[in-house]
Amino acid sequence: MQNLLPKSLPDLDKEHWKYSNVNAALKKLDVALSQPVWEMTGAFEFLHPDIENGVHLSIPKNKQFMRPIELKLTGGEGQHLDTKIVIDVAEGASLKIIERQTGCGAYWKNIKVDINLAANAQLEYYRLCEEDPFCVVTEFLTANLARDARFNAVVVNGCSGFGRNEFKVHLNGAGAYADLSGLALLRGKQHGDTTICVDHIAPHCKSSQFFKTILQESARGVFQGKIHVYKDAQKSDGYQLSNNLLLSPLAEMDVKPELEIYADDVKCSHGTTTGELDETPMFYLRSRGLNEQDARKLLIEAFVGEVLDKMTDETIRALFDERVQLWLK
Amino acid sequence: MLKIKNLTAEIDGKQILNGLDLEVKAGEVHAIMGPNGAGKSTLSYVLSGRDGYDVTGGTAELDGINLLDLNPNERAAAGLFLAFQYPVEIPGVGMTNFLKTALNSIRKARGQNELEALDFLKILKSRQKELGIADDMLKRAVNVGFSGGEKKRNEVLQMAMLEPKFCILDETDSGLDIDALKIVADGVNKLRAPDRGFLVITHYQRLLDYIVPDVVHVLAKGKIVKTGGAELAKELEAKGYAELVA
Ligand SMILES: Nc1ncnc2c1ncn2[C@@H]1O[C@H](COP(=O)(O)OP(=O)(O)O)[C@@H](O)[C@H]1O
Ligand SMILES: [Mg+2]
Repeated sequence: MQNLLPKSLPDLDKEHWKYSNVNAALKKLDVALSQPVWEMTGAFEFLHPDIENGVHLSIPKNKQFMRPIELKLTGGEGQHLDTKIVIDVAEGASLKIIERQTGCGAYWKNIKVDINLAANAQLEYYRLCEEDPFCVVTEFLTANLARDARFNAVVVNGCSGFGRNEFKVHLNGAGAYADLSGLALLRGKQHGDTTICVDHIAPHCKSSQFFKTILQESARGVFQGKIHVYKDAQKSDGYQLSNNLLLSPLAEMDVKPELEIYADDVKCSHGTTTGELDETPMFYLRSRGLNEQDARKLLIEAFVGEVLDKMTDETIRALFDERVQLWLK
Repeated sequence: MLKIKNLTAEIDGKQILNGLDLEVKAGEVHAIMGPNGAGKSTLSYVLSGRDGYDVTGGTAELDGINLLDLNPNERAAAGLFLAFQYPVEIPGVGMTNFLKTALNSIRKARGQNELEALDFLKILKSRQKELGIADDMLKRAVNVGFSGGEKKRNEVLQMAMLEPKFCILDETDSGLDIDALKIVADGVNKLRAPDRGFLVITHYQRLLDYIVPDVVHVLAKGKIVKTGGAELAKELEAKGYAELVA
């Protein structure tokens, strides 16, 4: 089975994939390589023709967009989609991207996203995954940030059967800032894995990882987050928080935070919680008249709301919120 | 109004309330004073139905309704309100949404119509003004980032919004400076009414200079050991609890 995996899949070293058996998930599928068709709204003039099976956007210097650009990929029964998004943002340009993933049937999407932000470039990257519960998705995002570049990503995963979302962020230029947050909504026998590594390579960079998971039934979640501070990356500011809500006794969550720090003048912190809804706020709400069901609902909405609040664009937030509320019902 | 008879309760199998008797009539304010660990908070949680506080005997009725049979939200609908000693922070739940959901839940349970946003805001504005609560506080998440004084004022705001029959204030004075204490006491005094009762739990006599009680009880080792008038509080302040607890 190992040789079925294309080269575009990230390294499969055992430690890195410890909690997620992608080979076993793929074995259950019967898929054949198919041509991915990306639907796109606007910005066609910035398409670079060099990629056949994906999308390459090349944004010129200082270009600003009024509207977000939406990229959508739909999976179908029996398909193996091996595809790529490349976004090059030149100096001082800024844009918002919405990546939407949907599909129906048992398929495998293997998606590589390469983001290159030049000095002072800004990208807000929103991903909404509403995949088929029987598909497999492996998505690997790499972001390279030059001096004072800003990368904000919010990822909402109403998950696939088996999903692995990986992020590798390189803070290459001083003053770069990466803010990553996400919400994974898992139920049934779904498996959702978020694996992140932020490399603080240059000094004075800032990064934040804020990820939450809600698990129902016998779902399984994984969060692996690493902050890696290089020797010369003084004054690095790294933050990581993973909060996970187990709504069923059969659900399971594995969390592995990791700090690897070689500079001496840095500020890094991480924290994680996994458990049921807290009794204390539950009692507080009920003592104010909310019945159990309403109190739970309010607390779960609050739990997801903290991630959605990371979205500065009201319209995009409303879209994501609507999809999340549907899932929570 | 509130009738408690021979109430016993335990936490984790450890008996905390040891046969407590108490009766508060409509329109009265009773104070409960007592040393730390006496069981004052336990009494307030037992009355409001918190999980983990197991009643092993006795009765507690509010206007003839057996509180002990009801879950916490049913007790709230029956008119019971607890101002928490440590108000709970709820990140992600906005104050206004919280207050509106609470008020409408209670109205619904009482068979009243739910309030529209505009009518709700009218009530909120007037209560807010009375308690000197800034707009900014209502834009934040429930108790998140509130100072000690703001948290306690927020408890009184909720009390004023929900219009309970019976209010328990658990050490609402702790951690307040004198100005904050006056505002909170003022808010409570405005709510005093012939058909409403209060149980004011405090460790210090200070609060009772501002909320003058009709009756003062001393709670020690899980039961009422002494009952008197407002002057009992002064006496306790002077002598301390040692004599009574011994
Ligand atoms: N959650 C708990 N678990 C175990 N023991 C508790 C708990 N809460 C309170 N107690 C015990 O119950 C007794 C009464 O506590 P409490 O009601 O908080 O007293 P007060 O409010 O009068 O200071 C104390 O001995 C305390 O240690
Ligand atoms: Mg107490």
